[in-house]
Amino acid sequence: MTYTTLALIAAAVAVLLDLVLLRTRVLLTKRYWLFFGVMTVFFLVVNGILTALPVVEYSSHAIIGVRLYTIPIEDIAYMFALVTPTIAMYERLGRSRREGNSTT
Amino acid sequence: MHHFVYIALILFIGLPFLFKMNDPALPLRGRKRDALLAMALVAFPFLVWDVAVTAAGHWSFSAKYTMGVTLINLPIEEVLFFVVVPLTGILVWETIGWLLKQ
Repeated sequence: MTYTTLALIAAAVAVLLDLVLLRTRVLLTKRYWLFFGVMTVFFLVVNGILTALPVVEYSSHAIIGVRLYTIPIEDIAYMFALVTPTIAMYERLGRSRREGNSTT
Repeated sequence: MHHFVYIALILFIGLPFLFKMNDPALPLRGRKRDALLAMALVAFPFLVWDVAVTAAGHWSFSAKYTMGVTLINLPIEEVLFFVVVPLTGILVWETIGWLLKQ
């Protein structure tokens, strides 16, 4: 599988985790999208540097080749897939405790 | 100095968490275990993915911009990426929550 395919699968898993498996539903909140906006700005700076130097080089066979500046477009789905489950897990852990671990 | 480029980026990402994790305004102060657990649960599959596709050639890491220390066949900087991004992400999440309550 290419990075393109894997990144899209990971992003879909992230949505499924938040909406269905953990039922945290952070994706439906304004707070999440403000968070995602801030993370995207950080990501563009950090990944811009990583891919411009480059610190990380992508195989042309693994990506579709569309880039934002030097950043492969797949990295946006990757970032989403990384940060969304982090917040969903963190929220699930906090809510479970407040609910006395009675529900999941 | 170029060997320290990636580790400098990792520090740049991770320092906000280290400086603000005990901020009295944020619930994170009493929830660092949750933050570490959430980070670990997410970092694990991403590290498995990273090791597999680095071996498969999806991407490669510059010898010039890394220190040359490896862990599970990845530059140590890359492993730390999955520690600092989730933790600082949680800090951003908590900070946005605080701002919305003001």
